[in-house]
Amino acid sequence: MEQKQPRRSQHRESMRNQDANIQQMEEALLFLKNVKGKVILKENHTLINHIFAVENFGLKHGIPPDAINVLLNLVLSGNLADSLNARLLKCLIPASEVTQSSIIQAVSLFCAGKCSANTQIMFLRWLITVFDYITCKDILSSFYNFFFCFLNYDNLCPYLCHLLYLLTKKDHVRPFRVRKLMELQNKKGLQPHLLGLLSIYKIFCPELVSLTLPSRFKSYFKSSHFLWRMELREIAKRNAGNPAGDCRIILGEKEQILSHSRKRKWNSNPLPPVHSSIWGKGPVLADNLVSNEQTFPIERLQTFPQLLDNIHRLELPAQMGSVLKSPLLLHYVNCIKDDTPFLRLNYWLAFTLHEECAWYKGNKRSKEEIEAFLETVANMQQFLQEGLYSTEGFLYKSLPHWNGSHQSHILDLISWIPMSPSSEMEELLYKPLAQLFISSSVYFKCSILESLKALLHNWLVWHSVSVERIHTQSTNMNGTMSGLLTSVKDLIHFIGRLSTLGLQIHNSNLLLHFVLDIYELVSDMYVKFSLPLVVLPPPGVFYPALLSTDCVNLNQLCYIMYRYRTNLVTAKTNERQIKAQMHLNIHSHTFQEFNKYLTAMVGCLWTSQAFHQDTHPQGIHLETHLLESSGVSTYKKAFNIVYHPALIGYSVHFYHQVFSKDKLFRLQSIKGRLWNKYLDFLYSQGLNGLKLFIESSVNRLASNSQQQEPCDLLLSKS
Amino acid sequence: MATLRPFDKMPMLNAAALLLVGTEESHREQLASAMLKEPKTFEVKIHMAQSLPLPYEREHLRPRFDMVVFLINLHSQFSLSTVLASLTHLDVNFFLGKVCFVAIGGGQVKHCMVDIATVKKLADTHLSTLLFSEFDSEDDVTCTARRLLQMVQICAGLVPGISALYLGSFMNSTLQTDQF
Repeated sequence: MEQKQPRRSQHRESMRNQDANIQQMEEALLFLKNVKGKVILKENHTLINHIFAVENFGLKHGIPPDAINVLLNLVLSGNLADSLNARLLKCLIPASEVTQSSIIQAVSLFCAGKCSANTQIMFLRWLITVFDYITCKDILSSFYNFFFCFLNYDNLCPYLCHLLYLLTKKDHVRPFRVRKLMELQNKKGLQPHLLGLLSIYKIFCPELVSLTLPSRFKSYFKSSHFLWRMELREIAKRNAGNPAGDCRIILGEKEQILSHSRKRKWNSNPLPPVHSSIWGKGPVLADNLVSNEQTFPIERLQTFPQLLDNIHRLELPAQMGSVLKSPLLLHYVNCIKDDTPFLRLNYWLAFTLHEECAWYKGNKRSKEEIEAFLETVANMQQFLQEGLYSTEGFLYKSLPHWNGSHQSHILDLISWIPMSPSSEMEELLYKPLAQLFISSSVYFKCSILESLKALLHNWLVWHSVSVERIHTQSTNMNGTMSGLLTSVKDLIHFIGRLSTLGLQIHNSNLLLHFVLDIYELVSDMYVKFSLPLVVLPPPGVFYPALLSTDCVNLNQLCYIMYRYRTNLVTAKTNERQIKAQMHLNIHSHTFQEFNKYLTAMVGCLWTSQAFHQDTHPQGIHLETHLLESSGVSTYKKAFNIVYHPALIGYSVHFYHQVFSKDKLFRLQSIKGRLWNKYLDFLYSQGLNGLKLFIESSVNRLASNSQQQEPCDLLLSKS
Repeated sequence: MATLRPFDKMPMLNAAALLLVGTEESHREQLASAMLKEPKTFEVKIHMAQSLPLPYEREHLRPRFDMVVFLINLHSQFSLSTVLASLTHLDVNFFLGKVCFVAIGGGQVKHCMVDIATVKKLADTHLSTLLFSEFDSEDDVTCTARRLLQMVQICAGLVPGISALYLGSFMNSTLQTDQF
């Protein structure tokens, strides 16, 4: 009991103190309210006492909204001395919020310029500091232009830039403002605060701000702009009675994301969550915005119908990165006619990729983070079915430095590179890629080829979509068409060269499989993608596949040749029927080359004449005396589907099925009627490519005749 | 003070010998240990030197070098000038595909004392491959080591049908538009 006594008295004491404080404060306010005209500071004890009272109260409890109104009026009217103004502003910590009317009055007084420049600066700093406690920011943002006009004043400029930085919304970014800022920038040189403001302009409208911003600016605005931080937080906590309800979080986060430390942004979260904008997040503001009819808060966008209903009322978030993971917003970005969201996305992505994912820059990012981000970007492009030029630029910059780290992710990105003129692609993509290809393992080579196949496929799909567009719009696009054809052709030739080299180095069936996969796509370009182009595989691919020891590859080659035949025949008939509908780019050389390949192939699989008939300069033609010296007596009949290294397993199996075990093993006996049975056996084993090829390219005169003659495609352009 | 020649000694069976030349000892060792760690089908012998020419003593103990790798630290002018001086002590035959330049630290442009364009030109005039690598990232060193191993395998003649010279000419012809 004895111990409780002093505590209670202490409590009573403090209550009494507080009451006295409040009373003093009220008196002070009453006095200060009535100040009209200039007041002299000297020997004015009542004034000083009242100011003391306000300071005391302000620093302890914060100033209530109506008092803020009175004090701001007094300060900005310029009736007091500068030092007193500064003291008052420094203790003007809002207890709860700053009302709309006080802001309107204060800003109009500020613009009237009754007070000194120092007080104006102090007022701006005060505004920056209490920014989050201002209930109606729309009012403040309607003053945007007023503030902007003051940028001419050198001493106000840094603080104004900071304030404008906080205020800027997309509508505020106008060409004349950008021009004004650039002019200031030219006059004063590289000022961090101007750069800060320009950077947010560029984020909103990258097309307007042509200036390239220095990539690593530590902070645009000095933290000394804030009058007080700790005190404000303390009072907010005390008044709200809830330490979690810290209003400063909002401001803190915005800084974190945009101005302060880019590192921290990354560490916290490379992909910021979707927020309609910084405006909508304040706890004081939340209700206000939801009821606001003009914009639909993006956080509430959950379903596709919602997107359709509100598509005219969406405002994209300040952080474009949040769009990446939201399919609905990607739909939105993709379909609205306005280009700016796309530009913003590209700008943001280019910056982030360059700053955070350029592994060779010595960034200490963890591999997982980078890979997760690259994967998100790749998925986004997959979703949009389109490569963005920001990723393209990133790839071109980093490919020379690429030694194979983040392998699959970079290759994913490569497959979405948009089509551009060959000369550019050569320097930027083909050259570094070829270098890497030479000095890589066979598995890496396979992945590179796979990604190039995806790239080709994407190009072809884009082309077929654009052809449809041409047909519907009936516009003449011959010029772009020829450029496109050369780009595609050069890509295929590049792939052909890489494949040739790869097969020479590794002699691997796996690699051959990947190569043939590409040519399966290439062979069908005319029919499937209506691209008037037929490019044959180089001999360095064709012959290894023809003589491959793996029946899967041989079967695939047969299928490819069958598709080439179909494409060439279709092209030929189309050319005869519809003249000049689409100018055909298939050279007669292609037909001749195809016929040579066909002869070699039929010779190899059917007539055993491959070594005699092959006329290709890089083919497998052998002189008779060489063949004789091989010691194979029946060399004229010893290389066909029975003896082919890829098929000999089948023929032996077939032989054992047909003949009893005790018969002398002679594969030569597979001929005549058995030959047909053997063919059926091969077809039944799933060699469909072989079936298609033989049925289309080998003309069998009589089903039981022993010697069948191949029928070359007599297609040659006159 | 003899020049280093590629063909004046006998090759070893299923083995490749590599000479790393560069001023930074840490870089050389980092790369060498990364190469030794990689699984491979042949034996690789790595010799290191700060600069060429190699001292005359112990010459008889050295293997035939299949490839010479110059490490250029882009953060130091000295590193480049040492490499330039060393190049003169190399036999011309090495430049038929058996020389590789590795430029280190090109990513941090701020610290670069040597222009990337200079190194590119150097590699182009010597008809040699240029790799970029960042030695502060373990991953990148491993990847670079892998690439060098593939190259040295070809230079040592361990890949049938392919020679270093062929690769070099392939690189030069790869960007011409006519088909093979």
